[in-house]
Amino acid sequence: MTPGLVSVVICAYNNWPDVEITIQSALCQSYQLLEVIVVDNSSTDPTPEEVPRRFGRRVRYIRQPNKGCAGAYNVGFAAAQGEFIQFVDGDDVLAPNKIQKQVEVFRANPELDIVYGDVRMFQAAGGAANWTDHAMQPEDDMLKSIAAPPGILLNTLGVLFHRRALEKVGPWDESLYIEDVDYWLRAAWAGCRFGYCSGGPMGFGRLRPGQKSKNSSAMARGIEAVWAKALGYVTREPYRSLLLASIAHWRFYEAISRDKMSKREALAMLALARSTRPETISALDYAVGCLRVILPAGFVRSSWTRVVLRSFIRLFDRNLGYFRRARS
Amino acid sequence: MIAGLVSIVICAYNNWPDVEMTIESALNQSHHPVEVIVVDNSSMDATPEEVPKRFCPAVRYVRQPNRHYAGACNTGFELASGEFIQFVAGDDVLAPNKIEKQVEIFRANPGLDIVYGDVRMFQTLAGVANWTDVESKPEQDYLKAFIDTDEQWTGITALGVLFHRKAIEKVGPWDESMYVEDLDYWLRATWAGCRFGYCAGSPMGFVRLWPGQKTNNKLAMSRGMEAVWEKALGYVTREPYRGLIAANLARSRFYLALTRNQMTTREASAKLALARATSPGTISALAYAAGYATIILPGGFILTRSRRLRPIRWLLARLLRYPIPG
Repeated sequence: MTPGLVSVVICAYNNWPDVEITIQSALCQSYQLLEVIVVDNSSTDPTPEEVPRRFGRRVRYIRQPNKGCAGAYNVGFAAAQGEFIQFVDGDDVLAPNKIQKQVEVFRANPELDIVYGDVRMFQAAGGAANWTDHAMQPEDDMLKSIAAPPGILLNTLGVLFHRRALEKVGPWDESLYIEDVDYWLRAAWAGCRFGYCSGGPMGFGRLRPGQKSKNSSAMARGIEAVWAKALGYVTREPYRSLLLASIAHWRFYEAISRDKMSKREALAMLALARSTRPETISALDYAVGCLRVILPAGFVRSSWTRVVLRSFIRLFDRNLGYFRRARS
Repeated sequence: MIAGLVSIVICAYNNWPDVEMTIESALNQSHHPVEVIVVDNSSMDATPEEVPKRFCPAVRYVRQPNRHYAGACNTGFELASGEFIQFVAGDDVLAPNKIEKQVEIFRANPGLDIVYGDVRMFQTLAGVANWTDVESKPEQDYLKAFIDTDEQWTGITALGVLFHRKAIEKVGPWDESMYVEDLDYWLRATWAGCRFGYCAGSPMGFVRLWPGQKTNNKLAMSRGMEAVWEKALGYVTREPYRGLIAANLARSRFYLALTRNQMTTREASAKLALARATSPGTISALAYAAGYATIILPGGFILTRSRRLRPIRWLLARLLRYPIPG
């Protein structure tokens, strides 16, 4: 380990030409003491020719069989020499002073393990913007904030790790679809101290069609897997019950959104949600959920009934914030 | 002039702490060499203390009485010694390879005067994103593209543009009396015969959106557009451009008459008559009559203000083929 050095690990998979701006945003940081490692998950585009040719010795280029983002992060970390580690996906852009700002936070608070900040989204192509940017804030109890519904989600792009955090938490889980939520849960459970870096966006995340977070049914299965794994190691209260509440909320939402599910499956999912934590999904919630599942889809989707449903949810259900987030 | 040098002129007005990221994005470009000039329009925040303390001598800091974006661009250009000039507002962010990409295009096509590319928008505060990002493309006839609003082409944002020095020398200074100074500049540049080049690929920069931004002031924007078109009629002498500009001028006058902001009924009617006189082909007799009715009838006032009457406004706009403000 070299003190003060920052290792920027870029996970590239068929991101040419977008990855060029990503690499430049890492190389052109106001904080100069850094190394850039590009881990290529066997891209089939010009990445393997162009990256070594254009950037030469300024970046370290590693090609490996496709092991997903988590696998690329693990390989990148194994090769990294830095005291601080930044993980970037191959189409996102770091703000020019991101590393500098967050290293300053580390210097001012030497006990911190992970520093996070805000991230803003942008579109790959022109057109109408339609998403929600989330604001981060300092958290007292990170595990509680992540586990409790609606739950906050840190964006890996806006995070800077101290090396000891990664050593404490261990490798990224390559078997999960949503590897970041799992990592934040494990890090918070392992007792990592999180610090918030305010002021300006720390990076710009690209939104494009076909992105893995746009695959809603895979995301739904993925988040279930993350929660199930978390139940295996989170043994202390109140975190365990918060986690159960989150799972119940999630299952409830999944059932009433009825994405690629028959009515029967949706009803079974509702029952599962209620049995996961009856305190969270009350009998009334359950009844409203069943009603929504049974009513024809066109009726539920039309804008008139949406108003009725929304007021229903507002009256009987405390999950509103969760729905808002899940919908965005 | 120093060949190969890029001068980045940052126009700052009460942009601390956002301007810090802007300056860093200019200093840390993949292209070298660059010189960064911060023109401070008499900011009342921490800018005059913080910028010299943190960045001098890496940037040149100039403070002047507030002459707005156009005035800051003019001051910056006077001080700039680069072959290429980049203008940046004090809260926007340049992409790390923006200058490099666009200088490459200048090198490949030495005849070009102005190179432009796409930019993306982002929010200061978190929340629901609600805007339209423009995707620009190469054009055949730039003057027509800027004027012809039917094509909905507004693809040039000052942040995404890199000027060759000779373009600015040819066009002259930015007009400090204009509210919409950039459109005025693009029109003058195309009329002066500047050649535009398009730089494809990733975004050239990120534009910050915040409440209270000058483009959010719809009324001031339409007044500003009126001024731009009026000025353009003074120097654009060729058809079909003149006819198109007159049509735009008539539309913005029609719009302003209907909003009736800070106008008596009499002034509004006069403005409406002026709109029709500017381009009778654009404002038909029917549209004129309907506009006049909304001005003088007591109910007409509600039509242009009420949210609930939006469908009627829309229907009228379809019938008349003009936007009804509201």
